[in-house]
Amino acid sequence: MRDPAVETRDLVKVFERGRRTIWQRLRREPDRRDRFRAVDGIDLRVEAGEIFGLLGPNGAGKTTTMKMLATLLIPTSGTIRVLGIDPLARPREVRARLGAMLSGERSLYWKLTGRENLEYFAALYHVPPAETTDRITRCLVAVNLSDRADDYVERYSTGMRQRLALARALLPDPPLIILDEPTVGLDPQASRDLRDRVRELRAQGRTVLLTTHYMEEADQLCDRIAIIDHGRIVALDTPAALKRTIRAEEVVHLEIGVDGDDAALLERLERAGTVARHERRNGTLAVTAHCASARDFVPAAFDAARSTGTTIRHVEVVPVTLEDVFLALTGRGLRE
Amino acid sequence: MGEVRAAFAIARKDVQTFSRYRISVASMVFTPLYQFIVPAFLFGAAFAVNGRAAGLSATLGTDDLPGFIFLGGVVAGLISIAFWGIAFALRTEADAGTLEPSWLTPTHHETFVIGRAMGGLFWFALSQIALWVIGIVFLGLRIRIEMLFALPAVLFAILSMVGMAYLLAAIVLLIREANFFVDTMQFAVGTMSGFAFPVTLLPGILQPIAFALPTTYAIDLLRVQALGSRPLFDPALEYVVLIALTAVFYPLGRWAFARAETTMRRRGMLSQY
Repeated sequence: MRDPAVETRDLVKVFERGRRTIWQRLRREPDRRDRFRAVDGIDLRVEAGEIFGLLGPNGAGKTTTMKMLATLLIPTSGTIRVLGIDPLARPREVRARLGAMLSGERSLYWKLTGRENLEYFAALYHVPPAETTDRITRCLVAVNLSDRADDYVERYSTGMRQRLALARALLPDPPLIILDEPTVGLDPQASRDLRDRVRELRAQGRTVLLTTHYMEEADQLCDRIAIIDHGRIVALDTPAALKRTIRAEEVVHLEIGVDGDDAALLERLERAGTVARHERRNGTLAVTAHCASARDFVPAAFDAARSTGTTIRHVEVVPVTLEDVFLALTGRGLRE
Repeated sequence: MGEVRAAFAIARKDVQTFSRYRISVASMVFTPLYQFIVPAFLFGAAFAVNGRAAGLSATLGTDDLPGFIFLGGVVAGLISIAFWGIAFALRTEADAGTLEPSWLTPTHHETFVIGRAMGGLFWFALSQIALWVIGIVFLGLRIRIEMLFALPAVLFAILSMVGMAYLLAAIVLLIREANFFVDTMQFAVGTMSGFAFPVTLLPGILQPIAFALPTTYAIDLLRVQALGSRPLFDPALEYVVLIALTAVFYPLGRWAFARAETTMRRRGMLSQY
């Protein structure tokens, strides 16, 4: 059995909010700063050769987790092994074997060309001089940027910069690549293109660990997904298995005109399916319901509306997505 | 070997990047010229007696005003590299988002200070050549063979400035308002080192600080050996103190830089831009 590419046990990261002044330190006053648990006991095991996704809303703790794996952050407690190495004890060994794309287009030197950027980082990654030219050529080909390699990065589109950042992550020929929100800010075509590159990395036998708050991306790309909320893993499985956990085949979104109390209506809807979420705004009750069959649930919903004197204004039936899984697990949407 | 290559790559990247901002390259020569050299020269000339810097001569034993000013400018240039070219530039990289990917590589983080110092010294050499040419052509600056004797002092000044740069980088990476800090500290260190006037003219309360700075001795030794000016102390003793302060600043700076790096990794400050 191969060793896992990444393994964490009870990983915790606590940040202090605010500052402790030098005066407070000198007077040895108790530290009264608020503490925020960005990562709250994460256990992960990412197998070699898989695409593993950390899915969660902004602020869930995904990036903090990635940065601890990448040696940029020191955990408050817990253990980490990256490719079998402890990044706290041997951070430079981890960095030498890790390709990382954490801050996208901002992480490049815009006044250098794409090739100059890669030459610079090749030296920082200690790529042997005799191999540097070939390695850079291969990385540029891998991200389809060969024809623009000698243009200044400032003339690249956002998608091209993201691809160049990915090329940089490939420079050390790493067995493990971590990508933090790799498609943020990209148009659909550029996102699709980058996802194709990520699939190619898996085909080359590399392990890819990525974070995203795009459920479609996680669904399409990842072999396994850990759903994170408030610094904790709330579910971890393959996308298909995660979707099966909510025991519904379809999701129905309803918009119902309601004047008075909506309790009776919601109670009747609960009998026909599972009301995952409801929100009332300006006389409209928005309901998201999980059900085995919309063919049965929708007529029942109309009956419920009629009997409670309310009017259904809009019905939308969609297949189950990871968004629904997140909703079922946390009661909130991924984009909230 | 990998670290040496990385240091050269950092220097090369800095030189490439900076050279693409042509106005900034020009300002490297003209800013010290209009902010310090020309005003100091005119000020000195205004108080000259029959064209002789009599006051300077009485205080330091030399009336070579252009030499006094331009040699002060050499160390002022080194101070500027330490403050702006190394420490503040690392802060700028952190703010721009490029420090994080650089620190994700196996290159030792101290190498980024060394590499930046090398790039800074390249520009320092270029700007000093340009300034000295201007000084010779327009301001009566004379080159003397004795000036070569001052090279060891320049070398130790460079080493002490790298040590100081580590220390500054440590502070600048941890504070948010780095611009104000760098600006005021550069002024304070430059002034107290005596780059524009003899440190003996400083108020008494500031003199102990001046004598704790390696740059004070570097400037004085430069002037003593290049111009034959009267030294603050015995030159041999000044060399000993300069070497001792360099020996203190260098490890102290490295220690502070390592501490700052750990603090940044603990607090997650590297990508707070």
